[in-house]
Amino acid sequence: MPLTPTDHDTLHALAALNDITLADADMPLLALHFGLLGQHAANVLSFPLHEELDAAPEFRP
Amino acid sequence: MTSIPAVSAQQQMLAETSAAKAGLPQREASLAEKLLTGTVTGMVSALSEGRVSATALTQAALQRIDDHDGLYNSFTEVTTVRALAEAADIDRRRAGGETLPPLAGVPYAVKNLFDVAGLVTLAGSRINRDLPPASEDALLVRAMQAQGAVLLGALNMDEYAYGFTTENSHYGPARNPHDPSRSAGGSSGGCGTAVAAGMVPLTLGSDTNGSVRVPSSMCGIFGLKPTYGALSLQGMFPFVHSLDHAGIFARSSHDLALSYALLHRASHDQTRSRVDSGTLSTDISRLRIAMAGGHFTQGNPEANAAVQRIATALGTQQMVELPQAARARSAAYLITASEGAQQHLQRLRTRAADFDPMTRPRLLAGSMMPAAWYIGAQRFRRWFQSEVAKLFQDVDIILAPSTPCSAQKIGQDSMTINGVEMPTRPNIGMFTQPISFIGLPVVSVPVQQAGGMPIGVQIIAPPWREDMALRVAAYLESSAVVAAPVVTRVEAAC
Repeated sequence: MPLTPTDHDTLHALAALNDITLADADMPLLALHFGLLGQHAANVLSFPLHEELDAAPEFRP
Repeated sequence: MTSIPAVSAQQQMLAETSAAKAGLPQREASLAEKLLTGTVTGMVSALSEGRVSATALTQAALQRIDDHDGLYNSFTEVTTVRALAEAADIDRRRAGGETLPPLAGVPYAVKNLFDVAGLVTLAGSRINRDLPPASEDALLVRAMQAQGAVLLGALNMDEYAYGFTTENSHYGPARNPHDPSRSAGGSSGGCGTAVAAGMVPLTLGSDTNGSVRVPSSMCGIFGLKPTYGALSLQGMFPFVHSLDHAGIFARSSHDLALSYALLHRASHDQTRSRVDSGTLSTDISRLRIAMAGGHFTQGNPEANAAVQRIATALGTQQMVELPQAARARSAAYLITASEGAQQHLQRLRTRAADFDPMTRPRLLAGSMMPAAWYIGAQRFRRWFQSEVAKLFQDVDIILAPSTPCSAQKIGQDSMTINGVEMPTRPNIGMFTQPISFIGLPVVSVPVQQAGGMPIGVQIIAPPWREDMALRVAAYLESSAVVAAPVVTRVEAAC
């Protein structure tokens, strides 16, 4: 399962990749929501898709 | 905390029009008030026969908004001047003997993420207040005007559509007319409330992960989320490009069909829809209908009971399983988080503090997602789409709850679903997300529960077969299994 960081230094560094400055007050909820996304990612990525599926996102109804 | 712009100006206009209204025959004013709480079909009939004027109907809507919306908080802007001008134009043209378009004189309103000329497109936010007013209407608003409909205003929503409850920290919550201490659902909560409370018979909203179907369920009305791409999004403030749909709310399936047919034709040079009018057959004898099992049975007993009630009325007990539906929901979550964050990246850099405190951390988290998570979700989407398409070889319609429970209390942070306690807000869309994830058309039909809150059931069809879903809804409506009566005002300990 993807390990999502909860330490403030790592969260700051990740936000800085997008030129975003985090407020300390946002840290607890941010860590929570990032963790939830990690759980969803684990759920999706653990499903064995066949390799021949085109990785480029393309969707039509 | 409620903020309705230009209240004093609106009240002044209302006072002036009330004086004018005094000149309307009392009989016409009374008829307008009665028609307003009926269907679009009924209004169109009365308008075309000259029994009521567009101005009288608009006056009645404005009065009803003034009487009730202080409690329900569905409107963020009431477009009084525009509405009366549009209504007067319809009446003038009708008096001149002109043949008028199908929605001539029908009042409606739109979620405040649709561009309305002269209004700032708030999209439920404080940040957007600093934008200039829209220079022109969104395409669907232009289309409604071209069909003669009368715009009453812009409606409350979750900030940037990122929510299922319309508990908006900038403009206040939209309250459920069935119980104003409860949520109207979201993110198109104002749309649901305005229709359920009889202020307008039609509203336009949006649905990315459930934002038409959830308020429809919570407010006990009909909602249509058509096939992905069926309705133009031009002039609609975006959220998630891969998942955004425009949708319609109404108090009858025929009203949904009529408005959808008109708006779909306006959206495309060549129609792909088989819905061409508000006249719906109720012949469902050849439709193969099944209930969704597995993930979709994990709601509360009231949700399962609502689906069972619909299934019994349709004469089916067949079950079908959408494979990996829970994973589909997770994938929708990832796509939403990533694309939603990208949409707001610049605002997160410069105006982070001005976001709703419930929206900001979700957007920040999405901005940090590795690309592998997003791409994995899109690849899974193609697989899921393919697998569900196979199911539609054997069934025509799939039934599922719209929500796992009926409307929760405003401010309620956790809820118990199927014996499991979980956060309220992220989980209300657990049954809508897997369906909008692959763009299937859905009609949410309202099941009224005696002594309780209403709850919705999704009538799910294959792509571009809105006609089948609407036909099933019409059958259920004609059989009195589903209905959307206007809710009278209920005071609540808010």
